[in-house]
Amino acid sequence: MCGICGVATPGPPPDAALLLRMVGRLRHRGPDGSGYLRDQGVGLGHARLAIIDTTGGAQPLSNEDGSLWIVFNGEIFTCVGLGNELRSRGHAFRTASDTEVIVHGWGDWGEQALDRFNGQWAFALWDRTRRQLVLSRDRLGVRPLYYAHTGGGLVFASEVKALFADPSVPRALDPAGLDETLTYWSTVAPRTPFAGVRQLEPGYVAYLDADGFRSHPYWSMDFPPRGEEPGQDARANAVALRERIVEASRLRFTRSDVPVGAYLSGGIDSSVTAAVVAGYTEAPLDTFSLRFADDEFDEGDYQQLMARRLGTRHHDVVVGPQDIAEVFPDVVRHAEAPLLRAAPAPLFLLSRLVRASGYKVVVTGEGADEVLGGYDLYREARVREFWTRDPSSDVRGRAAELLYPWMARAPGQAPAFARGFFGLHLAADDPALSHRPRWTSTAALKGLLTADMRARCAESGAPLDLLARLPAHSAGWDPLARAQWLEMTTLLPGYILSSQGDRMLMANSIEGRFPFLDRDVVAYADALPARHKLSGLEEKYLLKRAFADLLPPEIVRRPKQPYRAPDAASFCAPGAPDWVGDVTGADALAAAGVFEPRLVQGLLTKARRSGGSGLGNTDNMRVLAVLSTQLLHHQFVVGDGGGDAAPATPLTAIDLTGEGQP
Amino acid sequence: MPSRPPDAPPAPHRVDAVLDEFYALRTPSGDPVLDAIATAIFVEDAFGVTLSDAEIDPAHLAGRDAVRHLLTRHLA
Repeated sequence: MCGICGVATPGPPPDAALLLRMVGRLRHRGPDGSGYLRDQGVGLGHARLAIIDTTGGAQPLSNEDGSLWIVFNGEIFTCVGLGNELRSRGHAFRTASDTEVIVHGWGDWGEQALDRFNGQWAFALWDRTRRQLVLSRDRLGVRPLYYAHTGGGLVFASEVKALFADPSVPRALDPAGLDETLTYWSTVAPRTPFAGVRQLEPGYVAYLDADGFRSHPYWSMDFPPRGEEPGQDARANAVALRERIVEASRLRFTRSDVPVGAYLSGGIDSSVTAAVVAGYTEAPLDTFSLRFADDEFDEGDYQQLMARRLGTRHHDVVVGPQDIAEVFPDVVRHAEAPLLRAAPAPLFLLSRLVRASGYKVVVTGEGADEVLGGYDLYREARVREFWTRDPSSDVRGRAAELLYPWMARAPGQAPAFARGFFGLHLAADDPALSHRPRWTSTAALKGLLTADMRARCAESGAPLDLLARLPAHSAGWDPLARAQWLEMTTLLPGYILSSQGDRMLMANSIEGRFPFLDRDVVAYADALPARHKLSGLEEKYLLKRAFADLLPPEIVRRPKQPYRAPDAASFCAPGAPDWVGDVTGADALAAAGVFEPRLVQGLLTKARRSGGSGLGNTDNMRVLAVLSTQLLHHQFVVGDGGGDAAPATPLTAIDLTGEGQP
Repeated sequence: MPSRPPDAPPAPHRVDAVLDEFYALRTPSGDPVLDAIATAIFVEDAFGVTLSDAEIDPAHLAGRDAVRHLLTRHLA
């Protein structure tokens, strides 16, 4: 895993100093080395986290004749087979790295090479013959790739802070991005929280050449029509799913020249991946867990249970509210987005533990909830569908009491509230029936905005009309498939894989690998009957059946407990760090112009009365939205993202400009 | 856009197989009425039928045989 960046310009060759400044800002993504290339029209930069071919494999890297050059962030897990195929086609490999597979693959197959790649990637490829820059991002958005147009040119990078190393890139929050975040929990690609900064959509490829900049999808999510799924037998499907998950886990554990550890959350997903990879090592597997000082959030008993079962060398970090408050400014600086939850902060502390333990790669269970039907939101949607068949039915309305059993104030304990909340916007023909309660409750946060910001949001045309993007044939999908599409288009790339994933891992130079987001696992899961993912209200049905023999029954049978962390309680109790007061002071609020100061002070006063612990869900999100957006403004608009550092050594410098040559 | 496209009635052996799937991993809540509602949610989703309020009741949905009997009527 690494960081990439670059500059394309119609004028003189890009400035080496700018490339080095951009690479330096990505040093946390790649502390093992760095490199850059300058050519007429383009510059590429790379910060390396050396995982495969640690001695060779420095970037930028080229094909045999130097006509194609690449900088690459990620892994192609099927690189061994592809490499053999390319060798049989006559290619001579100079390294054992998967990066070289991309270069040769692109040279032979062009864009169709992307279909052959099973992995997680963002890369930039410079075709000297065509004078064409190619950018690509993996199917589901595991790896980030941002860009900004700059007066006829283009800058791109793994993180926005590297773009801001170029002073010609304007730094301002985008009201449209804010509007989307205060609806969907994150922006939806290509939008970002910053005006003028875009991100390449997951599953897209982009080209920049004499014809200009253009992008299109090389892959898109799809599901079969309801009732026409190819496999209807649960036993056979469980066997086939297991085969794919085992292979995906094996690839992610063995395709490394450095040791690989595993996360254990206490839930079924990471228990499955840890159990599978433990079978591919004779040495004890190192597992890493996040614990909470507060029992409401802690899953330590289940983590210990699984670690004992696997006989792993187990490590954990116990996180309390003060720990979250202390690192939150760093968390926002790495996330580069407003956050409506504090949950990324403990993950930042967990990856720090991994790094301190001598590891730089972990396998995790990320993606199983989206792909295999694990989210409470999917159960919520199933209940709402059930209710729409007779909204006046009392007994159908009681179904809301089956939701969120893990919550301290579960709907079953407040049935009247539950009916009111989950019964909102109950329209059978709404393609977003699944997400309407979340979007509506999140949009309530916009009430905190200043009148000016509300007006700018309204003018922006946001939030994006996601329903217009749903494929026309999605009307024939199962409702669960439509809910999955919405979730995997919004929250998965925009928050889970970014703010909770790549950014919190790479902040401490850790690469995450996600077997459940494997190309073949996702393709197989998408084609399953919906009832094999969500069986009634039983989540991740097939996964539980497929791996029941590898897991303790306590973990298979436990109700899903979503990953959560103390939110407002981390910032509103006595002893909160000074930065909380600084970013919510009148001057800071006025400078940002995002939130109405009177409303913010009222919210914080209310939160502090209970030390933050007595707030409801919406108020918790309000507090987090204010703090994170104010930090973002302070760090990226008042400041420029910071993080300047010298590029890591060894440094590879390649100059193809011809400047200085006789 | 329909929330649930109409389903063709499954063959009897498919009904048994699908019910076997459900009961293989079902987690009862301990409340018979809520368990009946949870079963009704599964039955309606998996078989594309719509139950009456009177049928969403433990008397009709408590156990595999009762559900099988109920479905026989709906899918006839």
